[in-house]
Amino acid sequence: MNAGRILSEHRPLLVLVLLSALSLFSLVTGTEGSVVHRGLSRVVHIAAYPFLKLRHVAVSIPRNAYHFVADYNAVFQETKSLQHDLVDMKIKEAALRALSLENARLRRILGFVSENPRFTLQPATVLESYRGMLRIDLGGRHGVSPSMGVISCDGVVGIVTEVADFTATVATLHHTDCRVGAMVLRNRLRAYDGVIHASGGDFSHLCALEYIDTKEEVRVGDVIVTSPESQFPAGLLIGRVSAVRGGVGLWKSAEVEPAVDPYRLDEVMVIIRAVDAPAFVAGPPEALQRAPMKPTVPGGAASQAPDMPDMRSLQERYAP
Amino acid sequence: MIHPRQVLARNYLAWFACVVLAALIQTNWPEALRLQEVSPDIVIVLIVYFAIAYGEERAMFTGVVGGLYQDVAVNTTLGHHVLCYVVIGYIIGRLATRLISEHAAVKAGLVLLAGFCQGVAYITIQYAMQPQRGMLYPILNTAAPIAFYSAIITPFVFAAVDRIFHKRTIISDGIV
Repeated sequence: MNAGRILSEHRPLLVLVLLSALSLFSLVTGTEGSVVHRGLSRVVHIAAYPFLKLRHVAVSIPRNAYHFVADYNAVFQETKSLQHDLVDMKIKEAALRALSLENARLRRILGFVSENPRFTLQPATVLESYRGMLRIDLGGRHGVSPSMGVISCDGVVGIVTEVADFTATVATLHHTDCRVGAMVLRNRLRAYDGVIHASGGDFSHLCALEYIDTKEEVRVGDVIVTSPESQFPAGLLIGRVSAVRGGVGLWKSAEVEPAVDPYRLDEVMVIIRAVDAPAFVAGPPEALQRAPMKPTVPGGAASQAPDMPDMRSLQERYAP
Repeated sequence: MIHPRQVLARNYLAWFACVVLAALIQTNWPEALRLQEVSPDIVIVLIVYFAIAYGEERAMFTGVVGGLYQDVAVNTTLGHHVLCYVVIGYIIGRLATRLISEHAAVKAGLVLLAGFCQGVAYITIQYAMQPQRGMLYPILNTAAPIAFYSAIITPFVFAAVDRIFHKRTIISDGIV
């Protein structure tokens, strides 16, 4: 019997012995970190990669498809909920913005009151406004009476014309019932009738200073304030001259744009009592000379002309 | 006409792919086949299949490929799985020639026996290397359930593998 035949007959046994011997050798010696182990590890990882990728895809696609269907209602509900939240947030934001603006207005009123201790002012909220009339939430029970002046931080608003128990009606400078004693701040010029009144149409939002002597000088941009003989304390800002008309006859008139727009008011102040300071009676207060008003002449700036010296006698100047 | 060597090469290629795929599934996707915390040993099923169909030599090489893959994948010492699979492959290959192995119950029984023996051998080697891990408890808790589960899936694995290799046998006109 030759060796080849013996090997052929016992080949499985030889393979077993060989493989077992190799395995035992590997087990006994330990092969962690060896070249064989690292090479096999690389081969295994390369072989496993496509399978793992395929498995990931096979698992993730049905899962995503399931979630797409199953989560649709949840996503829909979440979207609706978020939309509701968005609307709520917008409402809250608008309320906060309104509160912030109200806070700024009230702070301004508070500053105005503290800066003018000569006035006893009663703050009021505007309930409604219509055709130059305002209705405020103060009435006879609060000490308000007809002919009382109503102002805001920007200037004169109007005069109380009717008083109920808890409300009062105010005729603003846009209403024909409102007539306020006025003068030009620069030269204390008064009209012949001494008042400023609404120009007649509520659409123009302008007032008129009529019966001004043609010889008197009134310029566009001149500041108009309350005169000492009006029911308001002297020197309160009324408006600014926007145009001067006439001059052919004995009289000319000036159009005055009021400083206060009554249709944009939320709070006003009723002058319960006021003490005219001598400085206001005698001459133009410096604070009003710096009155922050925008130029009213379209496309132009305020009057840049130098102030004219007051040539009137003392008697005329201090006359009530 | 297909050359016999080409058929033989394809047969070996298919065998290799089957063994690697079985090891891949077993190591990378055990949770898919897990039942009560027990995963089947597909490689042992393949070893039994190739032992019955092609003899102990093919069964031993199946054990080498599958065992090496598992040793690397689960980071055990090289040869741990291989030694168990090779010995079991040889024994089952020798045993299969003496049994009427065409019956499904015989195949499943062989897988049960092979799986249990492989588990015992694996745990024995592990015990020799790490005595603190114990021996009896892992055999009862791990080896026996795995062998049983492997025996249960035997008909399905045999049917799938048989479909591949029977078809090739027909094509090759019984060369392999």
